[in-house]
Amino acid sequence: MASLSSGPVRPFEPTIASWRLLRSGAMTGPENMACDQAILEAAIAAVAEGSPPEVTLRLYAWEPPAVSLGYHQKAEDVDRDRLRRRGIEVVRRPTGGRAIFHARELTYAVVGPLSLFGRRVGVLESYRLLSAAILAGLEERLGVRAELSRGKAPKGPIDRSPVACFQRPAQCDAVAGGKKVVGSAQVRRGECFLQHGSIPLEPREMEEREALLGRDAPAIDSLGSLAEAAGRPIHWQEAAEALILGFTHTLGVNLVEGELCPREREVMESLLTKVTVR
Amino acid sequence: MAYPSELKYTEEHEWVKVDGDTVTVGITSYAAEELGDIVFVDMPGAGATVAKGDTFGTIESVKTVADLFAPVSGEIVAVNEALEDTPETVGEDPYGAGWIIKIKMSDPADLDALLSSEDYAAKL
Repeated sequence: MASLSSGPVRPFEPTIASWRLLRSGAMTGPENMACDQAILEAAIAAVAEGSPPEVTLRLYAWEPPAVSLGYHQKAEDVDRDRLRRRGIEVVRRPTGGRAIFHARELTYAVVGPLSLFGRRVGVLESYRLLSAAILAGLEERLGVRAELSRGKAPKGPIDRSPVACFQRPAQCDAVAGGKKVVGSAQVRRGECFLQHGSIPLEPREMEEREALLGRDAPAIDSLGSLAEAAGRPIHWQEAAEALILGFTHTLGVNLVEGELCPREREVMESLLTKVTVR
Repeated sequence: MAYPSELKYTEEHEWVKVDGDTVTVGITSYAAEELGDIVFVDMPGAGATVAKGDTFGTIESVKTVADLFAPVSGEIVAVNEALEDTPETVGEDPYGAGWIIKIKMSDPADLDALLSSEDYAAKL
């Protein structure tokens, strides 16, 4: 049904209108992945206990740069010795997909119960619904017009050869000017989901190629950045404000600044070594 | 979308085919479509025991990782090893060659909680 109000047409009406906002800033690779997972585990525990479910939007950065691998991705896909010599840690994400070299980017994570959508939604649909907020924010605040990639792999054996996430836009990745500017992945556990995504702020193709594929590998042509799409430098803070604007305007949610609860901190600490790939 | 009427279903979008005291388990065409291109299926080895409702593995598509739940309690007597090399079969032939595991039931009464094809379709 069309909205009668003058506000933006909402992709969906979230069943939970007040979300926790965590501006985590820059952390190490293990800290970032342990943190996202700790928030997911707390959400799962809350739903299992019958506590009121909470939704979290976390915005963060990686310092020093690190490489993350998809949940099932082989550790041998990247040259860990070479990365270690360069001081780049390798961590495992709880979500699927391929490797990412995280440097000079805004990373977002949305964690909450699947009931947030108000109805049963598939993975791709939930991507579309959450991405609508992100894309609206990027356009409204930064003037970056990105759209969701519609690409679907042809029938037949799936090409599992790409090592790097940004080598190829998957369904529902955000693309601007033919280049991927938001690479997202999701995990669903129990009645909860975690979706997180990498938004490069400035060009890093050469570093990413060197870190993930080796210096002599072909260029990662589809790796974009906000700076290239906007035609000017975009700082982390500005990109973060764009996402905050997107979620508040497009979904009508109220973001309340918060911090990790003691249980989340404890779980995060316990996961630090577990998420690190040696 | 039609769901084979000879199968039983779970709310977690799995199908169950009963053959005596053993069931074959896979994911429904709805789940396969929603997951998108499936790139990995992580399964336990045969011989493991599972309890109804427990996570027994994970399935990864290009976009997500999702848990697989045991629809009944029992012992895993077979896993579809072909999926190691061709996980996309789950999406291409979900009710046939894309089956995932076979479980020898410890309590056939577990089947009572499963849905018929009509009830499953009505929940979507």
